[in-house]
Amino acid sequence: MHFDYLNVLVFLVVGFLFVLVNLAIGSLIRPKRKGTEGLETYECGEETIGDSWVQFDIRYYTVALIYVIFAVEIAFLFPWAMVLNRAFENPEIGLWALAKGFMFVTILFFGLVAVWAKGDLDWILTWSKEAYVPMGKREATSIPDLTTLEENDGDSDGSDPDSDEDAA
Amino acid sequence: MNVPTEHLLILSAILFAIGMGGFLLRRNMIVVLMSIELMLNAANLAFLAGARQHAALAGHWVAEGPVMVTFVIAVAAVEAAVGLALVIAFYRRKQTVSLDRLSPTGAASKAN
Amino acid sequence: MFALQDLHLQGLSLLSPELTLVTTALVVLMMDLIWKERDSWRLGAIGLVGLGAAALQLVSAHGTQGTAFGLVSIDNFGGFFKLFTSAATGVCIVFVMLDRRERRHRIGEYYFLLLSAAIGIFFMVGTYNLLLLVLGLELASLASYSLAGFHKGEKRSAEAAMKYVVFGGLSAGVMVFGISLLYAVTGTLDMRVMSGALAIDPVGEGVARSLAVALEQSPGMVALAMILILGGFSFKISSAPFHFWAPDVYEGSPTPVTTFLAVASKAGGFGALMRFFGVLFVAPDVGEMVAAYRNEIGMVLALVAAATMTLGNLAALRQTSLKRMLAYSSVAHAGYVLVGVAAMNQAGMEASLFYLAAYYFMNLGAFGFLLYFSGVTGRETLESLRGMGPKAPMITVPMVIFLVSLTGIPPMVGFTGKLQLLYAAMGPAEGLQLGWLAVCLGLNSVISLYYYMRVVRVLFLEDSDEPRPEPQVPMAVFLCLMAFLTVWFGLFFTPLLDLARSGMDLLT
Repeated sequence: MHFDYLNVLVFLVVGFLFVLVNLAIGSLIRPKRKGTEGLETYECGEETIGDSWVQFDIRYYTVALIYVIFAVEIAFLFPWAMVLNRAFENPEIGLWALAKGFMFVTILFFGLVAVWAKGDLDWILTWSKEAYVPMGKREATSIPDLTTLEENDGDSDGSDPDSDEDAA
Repeated sequence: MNVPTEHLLILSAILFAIGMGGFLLRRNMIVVLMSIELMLNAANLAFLAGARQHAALAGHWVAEGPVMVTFVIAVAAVEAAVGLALVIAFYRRKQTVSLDRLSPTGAASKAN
Repeated sequence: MFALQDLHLQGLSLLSPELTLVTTALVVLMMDLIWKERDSWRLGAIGLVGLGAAALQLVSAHGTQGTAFGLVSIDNFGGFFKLFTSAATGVCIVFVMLDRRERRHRIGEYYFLLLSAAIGIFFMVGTYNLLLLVLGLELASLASYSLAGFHKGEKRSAEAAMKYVVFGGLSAGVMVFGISLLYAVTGTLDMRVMSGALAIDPVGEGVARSLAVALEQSPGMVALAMILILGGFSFKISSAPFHFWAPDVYEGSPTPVTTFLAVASKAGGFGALMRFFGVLFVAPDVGEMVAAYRNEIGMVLALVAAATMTLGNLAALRQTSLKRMLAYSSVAHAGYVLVGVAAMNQAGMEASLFYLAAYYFMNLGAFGFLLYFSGVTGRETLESLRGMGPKAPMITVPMVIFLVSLTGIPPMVGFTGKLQLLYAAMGPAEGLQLGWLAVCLGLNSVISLYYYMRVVRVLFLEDSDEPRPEPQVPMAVFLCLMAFLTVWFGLFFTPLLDLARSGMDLLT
């Protein structure tokens, strides 16, 4: 009973030893020179500038997030496709199995259309501090600058043409 | 080698505890979201352990546990997506992802 | 063969309110792309029509019992909460349309997210299956996270969303883990199978054990699972110890979203919680073992209720912002509603349903007032209300009625509701002593009197030379209607009582 997990233990021990032994060998045979170059991220290559956060364009995240959501679709479609053949033979379910799969995909398709039309899939965005206007022919609603927003946080935005219309 | 259900449940409890610990101790929002994912996956392990045990008792596989796992995976993915999207919005605003930069919970905020 | 296939059509027809809402949400999403934000009120109108249609279908389905696909249960209890949710979401959409501070950027998504959250609540309150309960709860939560951060340029909104998603994720993890433990010991996700009301699992076909058996075999696991699940619910209804997110999120979110969170989302959480504990512990045919366990759960719930209302009320005393004060007041009200649940019997749950119905009228009114005044003055502080009472009586007089009702003074509906809760606390399930909770409820009402009446004093008894606020006719009409209903149902409460009573078909 206690030896049931012996292989796990062996695996762990070998893993640790592999790392430790290699590090030890390295520290024994490598030349020891102290200098600032050794502490840099890339010893030979570009000098790093600033925070690693700013190096990723925000667009990668947007596309990656949308990808993640649609990728999970497969987690449902795959089991569905696996049992579809058997479902057809079952008179209780029959073609409903196919119909429900399509319902599922259709609803997700609406989501894709929305994301696409809103311009979140466009790689080249016109990005400025004043307005976030996705590509396409849509009219930009004027969004105030972030700093001004902070100052009159909460004030009703008089410059916005739409808000006057409902206030009346 | 047959792993008993209790061991799987203990492992899932350990994973859950690690997730909870990460949530409580780490201040980086990305790490906090990762901790939440770990907690959900601990639950997944417990679901599968339970499903396996009930399958052994029933003599055939029972769909409920694995189906729940599929849905929890989807929920976790969507939660990560929404969480990360909000982290990005927050980062744009504050140039940081540290929870310490949130104003303290319960403190009376400035009027206006 | 056709008769069997009709089973699916039958299921879909039982789900018609949900299907209506899904269709409405998709239509709003698509029309937003076609109309390109220029006609935001038309999108809101589509949402309102869809919610109205769903509400009509719910009313016409009153009294129907059935199960769609083994997962969604149609009963009066779910119907009550679905009707509540659609009515509250409708009011929130009207609030969005009337919100003067709304910048109308990506407004179509605003309506879409509100409708999605409503769909989530529909599934959450209408199921005995923990899988669907988690899915509904998550759909409602995920939509709410995005809604809380809808004004992402605003600092408070971004922060609110961040806090909400972090604590929401925690509560989801805790709750799902609790459910996984419960599944491991019982082998089913269906509450009715756990309670022994159903012998055969409608979805799974395994060897399910009832909770009574599980309690005998592994009491520790069941206790842990119950605590974790209660923690998850506790977040959704913003009760102690998971209430601390609520004030910040409520304050940072746009006011219509705050309204949604404080009214619809909270009621949805209560719906799921009451169904869970009701079916497992309160139903008449539970065994002796479960009945003993029920009293322990009732005691835990009573402690949570007492802590929630006390913490909420004490914190509300110190607030200078009206929005934050209402946020804490809504935390305190979660504690009041929990009193009925803690009584662990049918009368208690009826009282909770009644109080939720009362809460709908008075709290929506109070938030409408907040929305109007923050739109006019651009501020949410109590200071900005100084001397406004006589200047806009059509707005402020209803607010006084809401505040009086929130305190629980006759003849308002809030008083009747609190009376029901007091009765519930005096006569809980056998073997449960909740007299102290009734005293706590009374004391808390006295504390709340102080901060509610402070608003009245600022409105009417203080003076300022602020100009007369610009009127907003639809809001005034809405507030007067809500105030009228608050008084009307306070005097003639039988219809609401009947509604609450008919909602308790859960336990038969």
